[in-house]
Amino acid sequence: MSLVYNKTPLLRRVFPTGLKVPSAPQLYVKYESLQPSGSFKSRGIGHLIMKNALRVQQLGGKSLHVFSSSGGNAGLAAATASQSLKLPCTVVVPTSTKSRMVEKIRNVGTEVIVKGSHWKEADSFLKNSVIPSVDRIEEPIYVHPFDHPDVWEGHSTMVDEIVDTFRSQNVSLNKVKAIVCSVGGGGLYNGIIHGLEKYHLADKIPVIAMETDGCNSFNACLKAKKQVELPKITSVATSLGATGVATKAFENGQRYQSPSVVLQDIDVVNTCLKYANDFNIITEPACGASLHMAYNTKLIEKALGKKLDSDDIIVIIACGGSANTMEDLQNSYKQLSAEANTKKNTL
Amino acid sequence: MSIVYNKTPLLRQFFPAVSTKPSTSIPQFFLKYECLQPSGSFKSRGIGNLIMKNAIRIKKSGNKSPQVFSSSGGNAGFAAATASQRLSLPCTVVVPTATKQRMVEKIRATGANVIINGAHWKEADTYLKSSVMNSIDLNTTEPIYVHPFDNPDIWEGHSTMVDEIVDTLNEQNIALNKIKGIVCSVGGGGLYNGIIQGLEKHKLADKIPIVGVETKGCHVFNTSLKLGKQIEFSKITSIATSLGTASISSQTFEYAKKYHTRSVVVEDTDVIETCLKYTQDFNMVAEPACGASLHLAYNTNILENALGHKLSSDDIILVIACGGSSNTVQDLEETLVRLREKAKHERITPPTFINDPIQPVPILGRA
Repeated sequence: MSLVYNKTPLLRRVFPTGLKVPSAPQLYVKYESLQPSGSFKSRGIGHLIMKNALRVQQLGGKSLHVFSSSGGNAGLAAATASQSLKLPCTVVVPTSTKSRMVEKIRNVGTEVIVKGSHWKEADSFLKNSVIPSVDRIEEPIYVHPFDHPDVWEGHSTMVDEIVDTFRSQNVSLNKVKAIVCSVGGGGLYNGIIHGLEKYHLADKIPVIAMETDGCNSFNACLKAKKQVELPKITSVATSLGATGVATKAFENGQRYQSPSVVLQDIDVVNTCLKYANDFNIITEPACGASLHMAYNTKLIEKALGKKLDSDDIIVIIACGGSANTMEDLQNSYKQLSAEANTKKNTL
Repeated sequence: MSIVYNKTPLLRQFFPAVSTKPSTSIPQFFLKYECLQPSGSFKSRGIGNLIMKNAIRIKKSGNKSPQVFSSSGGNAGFAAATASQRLSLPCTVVVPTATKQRMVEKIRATGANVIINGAHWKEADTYLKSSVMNSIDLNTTEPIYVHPFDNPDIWEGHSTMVDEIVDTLNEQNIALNKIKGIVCSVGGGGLYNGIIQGLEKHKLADKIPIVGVETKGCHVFNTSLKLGKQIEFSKITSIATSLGTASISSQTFEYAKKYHTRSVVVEDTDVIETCLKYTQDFNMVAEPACGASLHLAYNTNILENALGHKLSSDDIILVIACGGSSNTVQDLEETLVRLREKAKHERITPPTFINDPIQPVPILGRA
């Protein structure tokens, strides 16, 4: 058992689609929303913080102070992990951060500084002003939201649990035809690949990388066959909103030929609303992107380039995330529908 | 592993406390996530067990095929439908007319046949037994009738929750004597009975007290304990419809007396506020029946009152997050507005004028 993350269930689920598809694959959902911070980030970020806390403790003298510049799930993960480890934590968030998220992070005992109009500015302020002025008896640890091997190593524990669960239920791993996960900066994706490599499964089980149109940096890289950055983020799935993926993610994508799927915001938000109605869990669009495949198994077949049958198993990483309320989703959907109608009318 | 129910996690959860108590006097809360069951509530365990046991019996004994029948438009009906779907059995659910369209659709989506009949559960149940189940061909079909809570097979199924709890705590090297209470909601007492039976199996029923939570307006359990005899309500006035049964099972009353179970009653408005808070904090939608138990995690003073002693951060309280699919966030918000309006009206009581007998006394608050 870990102080900073939870072992989560991998459960077989039936997604009500209104269609009778006897050949539909079996869907298993990994419930990362049950992490202490509400998302899978508790694993990787918790691991990075704990590893450093132990290192600093062994050296003696100084104490660790955790720093993050995310007003999203990464910041919340840093905050909750610090709370569990009884470490001081400071998060600098851009002014665009929802007050709800600021409150969540503050409620956990973390110091929140609101500064900068977007992530890069908040991050610069953190690195140039806040961290240098830290107390001499403290060692600062900067937590990147996704681009660090310790973060990927922490996320990879998800694969250990998936393998354990299937083994304990006598389910053969060669029935698992794909793992579906959302890609923002590629931290989760790298973690899953890292975990699969440990079990010599990275060549056998494809990881379908899900993104939304408007923050499809991974897809753009694979298409250009080189690492590229998006000029700006235009999707509502803000948790996926990294202009560029980690280099390691691009390398993994090329090496393992991971299928890359890009969905439209409106479809993803609609899926989130459906999922809330069907399973009483509120998800963000970033998570909805993966869940969308569970509701549309034909898209999984398209991504894999082959038909699936009821013996096949697909694992969906329900990555979690706390950035949205039902109201946010409903408002998003209204706005996206209105935009779609306007486009139709102007054609 | 079972085909009809899921093993669910028991996880530590931090509740942003309503009061400003020091952290040393707040117990550790572990939640059992029954909302992850196939039907979205713990009922998948007990009802799944009843159906599976009977289906196996019927198939072994001869040529007849089992057919499942339920009269609940709530979580019990949905549990019967999802279990039947997983076992590839035909299922018919009769639901009262008051059942939300959303639930009717959920049950239908599993492949179950849904018949809408009767103004409330008793009428739907009567129709099911006297008309629907009577018209099946008993030569080829053997019916499996699923009562929402009053059946030992159901309690046996629910008790698997305790096996998992004990396993999890042992795995994590958490001493069972740190568990100072288990909080669960009480409707008809099915869940409660299952927990007691599970605790008895592990010789813990005398050691770990249960705090049974109800909402005001269907607090049959609480009233029965206070009066010292099992009673029935003539009407249910709480909005926590999943707890809304006029009577509890006799076994529930017996257990409560034997094990000195604590009983707490919470107001509807407080429960709904807790549900909304829970959604805000943890992104999960809980119905009032479930919110009743969660309310005690947000208000440890109520818990301490019920247990009769203060709690410290060394103590562990288990909360059964029983789940339930009957409410959306919108339902909760609308109900809260409606209850607050109602409360406002009721608070305006007529003043008594003793000096002016000729002037008629104005009575406010009447529609």
